[in-house]
Parts: sequence; structure tokens; C-alpha cells
Amino acid sequence: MKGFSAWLLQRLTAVYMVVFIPLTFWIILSGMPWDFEAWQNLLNRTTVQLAVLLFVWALLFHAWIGLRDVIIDYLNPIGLRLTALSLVALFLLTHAIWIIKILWLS
Amino acid sequence: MKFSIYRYHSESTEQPYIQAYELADSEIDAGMMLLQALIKLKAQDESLSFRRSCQEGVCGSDAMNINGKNGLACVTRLADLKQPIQLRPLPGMPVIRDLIVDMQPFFKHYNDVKPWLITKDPEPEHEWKQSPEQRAKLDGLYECILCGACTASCPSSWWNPDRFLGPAALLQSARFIIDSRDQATDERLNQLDDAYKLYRCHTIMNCTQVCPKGLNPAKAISKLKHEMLKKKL
Repeated sequence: MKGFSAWLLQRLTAVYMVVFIPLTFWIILSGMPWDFEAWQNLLNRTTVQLAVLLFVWALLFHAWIGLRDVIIDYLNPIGLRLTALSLVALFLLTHAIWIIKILWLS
Repeated sequence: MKFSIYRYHSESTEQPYIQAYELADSEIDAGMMLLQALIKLKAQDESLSFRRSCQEGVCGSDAMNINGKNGLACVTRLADLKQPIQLRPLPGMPVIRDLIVDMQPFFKHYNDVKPWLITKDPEPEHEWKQSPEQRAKLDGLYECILCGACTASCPSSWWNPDRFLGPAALLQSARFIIDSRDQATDERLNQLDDAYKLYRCHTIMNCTQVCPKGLNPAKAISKLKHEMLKKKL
């Protein structure tokens, strides 16, 4: 990802998260029963599943760009930098796949 | 008046050290600038080295770190400074001697942004014309004196000095991208579109805080990002 695309994606994902987080709190706190069945019903809806998937992916992309910036800024030795970037990428990628398993395969 | 000044000679094997200097009160006039004091200190110790030229904040030669903040010695009032006055070379730049730093990497980045008008149309018979509104857009951009105070205060420049262009060069880039007469806007923006040249700036605004001419490189960098957005969308 080059300079502009990373910059734009970081902002777009931020906007999505800023909308998603209060909306989620509002749904949860506006009289929804606090039990397993209600959660399951909510998360079984395709629109909710897609919205959650998009949120988690937005969070992961946002984190990737932010952490990549921190690593590029602070870790100058190229070997250390590539190792750190690989570890972060692996961690985030695992979570990107894991959320699919949680939402659809559990 | 007491001074604490960084001393180093790149051709000597001696490690850098801090030297204390003192200037008698009788030698200090009301409203005197730091550069005048440095000139008097040089009369005491001729090995003390610093750059200077116009002595009125126009040439940008005497940028240094003054009590922890980058600025120009010639426009910094002695009376406003806490003692002992701590003088260091510009941070993040290779030191040649005492308060003199190697400005070559700084000017390389300046040259990289092609700080001149690039036109494709045939030269007009007289001048390239601008409306007063188009000309007004260059205010706050063309006045840079290239002292390097901003770039030397920027952590992104300290961390990636070879690849991040730094606030001074980016201010110059904005100056030509915004100029209505320039016809290489796309090429200039394409050149900036990588992870380092422009986007290492995280808008912490040290550059704006230290600029001795009161310019706002952080705002110019935001303009560049805005222009990039307009071009790409």
C-alpha cells in the first residue's frame, strides 16, 4: 500500500468505526434482552454479520496502517523492521480469518 | 551572562563536549540579539564556530537550537532567554563543527521537489500572469528562508532523514503545486505518493512552532494531502 492509499484507508476505516461503535452501543443499550438467545438472534442476521465483519476488518486495517507507521518511524535496522512488520501482519491476518470463523462457522 | 555551548570538531578525535562561556554585563546592550553575543564570545575564543550572514533574519544561516528550541540567533533577544543559555547545533543534522551542521541532505530534499516553475506551454511574450486571488494563495509559502529550523525539529525527519522530505522541502513543494502558473502538478504529486516522502508527517506541528518567519509548514503539508486527495478522486 502506497502513501496516499494507506492514508485514505486509515481515514475511511476510522469513519466507519466512529459510526459503528456508538450505533452498536445504542442497539445494545436500547432495551435488548441481555441473554445468549438475544445475542444469537442479533448476530444471526446477515446484515449484522456483514456490519461486524466490516468493523473488525476496518479495525485491523486501521491497526495495520498505524502500527506500520510506528514501526517505520522507530525501527530503522531493516531486519528488525521486516520481522516486526511480518509479526504484526501475521497477528492481524489471523484475526481477520478468525472473525469469519466466529461469525459463520461457529 | 552565562552560556553553555556544544563544542565539536568533526576532524578531531575529541568527543563532543559542552563548554561554559561568560559575557560581562557591561558588554550587553538593551535589546541585544543572541548573535551579537555569539560574535562577542568569538572575540574571546576564536575557535568557537557558527554560521552567520545578514544578521537580520533573512539569510537563514544562523539557525541553531537555543534553550531546547530551534531558532535564528540573529532574531532571538538575549533578554528573553533563561540562563545559562544552552546552545546546540540543529538536532538530527550531522555536525561539522560546534554549531555548524551539514545542510547538504537538507538541500538535496529541497532540490528533489524541483523548486522552480515547470511549464509546458510556450513562454508568453511578457510574464506568466496571475490574478490577485491566485497570487494570494502563495502567501505563507514563498517566504521560507531555508534555515532548516523546521526540518531539524521534526521527529519524522530525525527518524527517516534520507527518505522523508521534511517540512521545509514539503512547504516548497506546496508552493509550486498551488501556484496557478505551474503545469507539473500531477508529476509533483505522483513523486510524493509513497510511504516516506510526504506521508511520514504525522502533523505534530513542531515545524510550525519553531519557524522563525511565522510560517506554517504543517498547514502546507495538509494542503498537499488535500491536493493529493483531489487528484486521486
